[in-house]
Amino acid sequence: MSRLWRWLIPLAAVPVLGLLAYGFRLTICGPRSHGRSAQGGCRAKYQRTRQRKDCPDVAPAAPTLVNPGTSLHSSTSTRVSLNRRGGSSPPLFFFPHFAPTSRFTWRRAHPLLETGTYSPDRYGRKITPFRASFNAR
Amino acid sequence: LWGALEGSIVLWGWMLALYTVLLVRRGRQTAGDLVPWALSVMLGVVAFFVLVMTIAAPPFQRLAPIPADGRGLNPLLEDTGMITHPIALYLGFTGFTVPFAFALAALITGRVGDAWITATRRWTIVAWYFLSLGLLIGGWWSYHVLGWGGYWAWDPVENAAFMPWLTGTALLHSVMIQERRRMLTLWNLALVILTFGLTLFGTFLTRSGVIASVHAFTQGSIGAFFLSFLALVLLGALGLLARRWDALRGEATLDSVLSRESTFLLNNVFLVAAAFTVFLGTVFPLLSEALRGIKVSVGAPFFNQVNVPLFLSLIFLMGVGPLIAWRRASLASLTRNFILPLGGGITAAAVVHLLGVRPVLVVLALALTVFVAATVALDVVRATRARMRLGEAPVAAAGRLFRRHNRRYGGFLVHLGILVVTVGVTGSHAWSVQTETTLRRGESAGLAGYTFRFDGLEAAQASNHVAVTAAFTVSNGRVSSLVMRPAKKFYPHETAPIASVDYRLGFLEDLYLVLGDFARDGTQATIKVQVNRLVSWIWMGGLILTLGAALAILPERKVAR
Repeated sequence: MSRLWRWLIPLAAVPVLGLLAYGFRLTICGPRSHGRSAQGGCRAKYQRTRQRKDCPDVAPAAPTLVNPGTSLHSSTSTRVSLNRRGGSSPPLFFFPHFAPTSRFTWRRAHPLLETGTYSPDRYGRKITPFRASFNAR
Repeated sequence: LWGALEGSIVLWGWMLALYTVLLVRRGRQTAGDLVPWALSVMLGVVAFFVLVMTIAAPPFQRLAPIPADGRGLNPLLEDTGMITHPIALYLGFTGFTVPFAFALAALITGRVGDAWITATRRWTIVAWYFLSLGLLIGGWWSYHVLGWGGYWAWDPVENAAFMPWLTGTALLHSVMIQERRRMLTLWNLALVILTFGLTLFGTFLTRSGVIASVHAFTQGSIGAFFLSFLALVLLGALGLLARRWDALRGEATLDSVLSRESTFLLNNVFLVAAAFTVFLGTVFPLLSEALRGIKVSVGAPFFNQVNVPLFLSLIFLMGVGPLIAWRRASLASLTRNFILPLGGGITAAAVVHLLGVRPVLVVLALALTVFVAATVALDVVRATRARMRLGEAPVAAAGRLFRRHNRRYGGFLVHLGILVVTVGVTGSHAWSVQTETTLRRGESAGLAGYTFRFDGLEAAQASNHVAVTAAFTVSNGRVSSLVMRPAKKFYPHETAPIASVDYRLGFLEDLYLVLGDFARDGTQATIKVQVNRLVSWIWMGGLILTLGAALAILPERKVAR
């Protein structure tokens, strides 16, 4: 192999690294179509991310109600695509008792003291609780 | 300590420091002149982690404001797997730094002979073993904690740990060719660099949040650090490889296709091909988004369809490789070594087919397993008999055989472990059954000969959560009055409840219950029932693999002449 060609070996890593760098920028800054100016640009978004990370006690966003009138029998579908990226997040289980407020008491949290039905595991294959909890950190 | 990002980086750095200390104490005995350079590389990697700990993920940073009570550990991490899985996985990841350091030392100094291979053989086995163990414990954790009834989901971060395992396995085999025939020097160095690069890639994936995963940590600048370091490592190490190109040409050539060298080479090709497909599937969402602006997810069907034929081929080679002759195999030796195992494999396929198993891949997997097990048994029996002819008792002969040739027979034990894992994976995919149903109190559901009767719900308050537990009485012809109690746990800090699985492990099948929805008055509950077949074989295979790796790591005894 000539002296010139052999240097293509390390250069072969460049496209892969470029792809990873693109992915990392996408993670930090979001898709380009979302507009830089409205959100304050990539740096601003990164700062917001840092701020959220540094202040973990900030209360998480209120969870959305999942089919409040759903009967138990309708919630048989548990398969969701793993490795999903983007799109809407899986809705979270509506459980207002467990919002981390100062008025929280165990008695209020007791699920059997209430009436009605829940669909807690409708989306809960593997990814939902785990990812949600990690991202909340 | 390692439940969050910063702690896990501390653990990583600490283990790397531990390996460095061990290298200082043990390294000089094997490749003394390479050790200073290898240590420099090791310390360079340690310095990188210290830099990360200092700037991007400081573990001792104060919170402001200081909360009265912390959030506590993620409930899914409250398991013994939290102690064992990260430790084993990180020991594997960081362990591959040692062969990388020696390989780089060889490239820097130009001493690219066999010294670095000899020096790193046992280090590589240790790293490979811990990585294997980490993957298996991760599977066990996923199986008994996460409540989805499986052990492997081709999640990006699972893939990230699997890729260095594949290339590390290729390395373990290809170094034997270099030791024996002075071939594949360049290939081995490339494999070491690739394996270490993949461990960094895995860390980058986990820490940067680039790809959605069950393991994804929060976003932050740490990803930029890892990406820069990965670029430095890959460009620097591959640049050195290019610089030493002329010195890395092998001294020997392949004599015949029917030889151990070509079998090992083929094994390497399949392993690297598997690693490449896993890599492609993992980064494909990124690639698709970069090129076409469309988010495409790659799920388990892709990975299974591409990798299953590769893995079956690898199992076949696992049987052929250890028994086929070096350089050139004659027809007579092929017949002598493989006719019986081949007969065993074909018989097993026929028996399995007669028992009603129809999927071709399942029949093939079981037949190949029997074929490889037969090759191992044949070799052990022959070698034991040879020792018995010298007057040794059978048990003593087998014992001495394993101790004297611990590397070879440790490898065989590892192969047996992989075979048992293969049976477990095949069985669980082929014969597991599941159902999901809603039962009123006193009603029963049936699955695979078992009857599950719903006896009611009860709630209990634990120290940090409320658990709603369902009671199910399980019975069949053999089991009666077995009560299983799957639960849902509600944690105040968690937005979603955590399913607590109840399971009973068995040699042939596991019972696995996950509580789904339930009525608040406790009159009805939805339950997912699984009868998972042969899953326990995966964990048993892990134990056999542990024994084999321990045997292979032991120093080989020199026979006094």
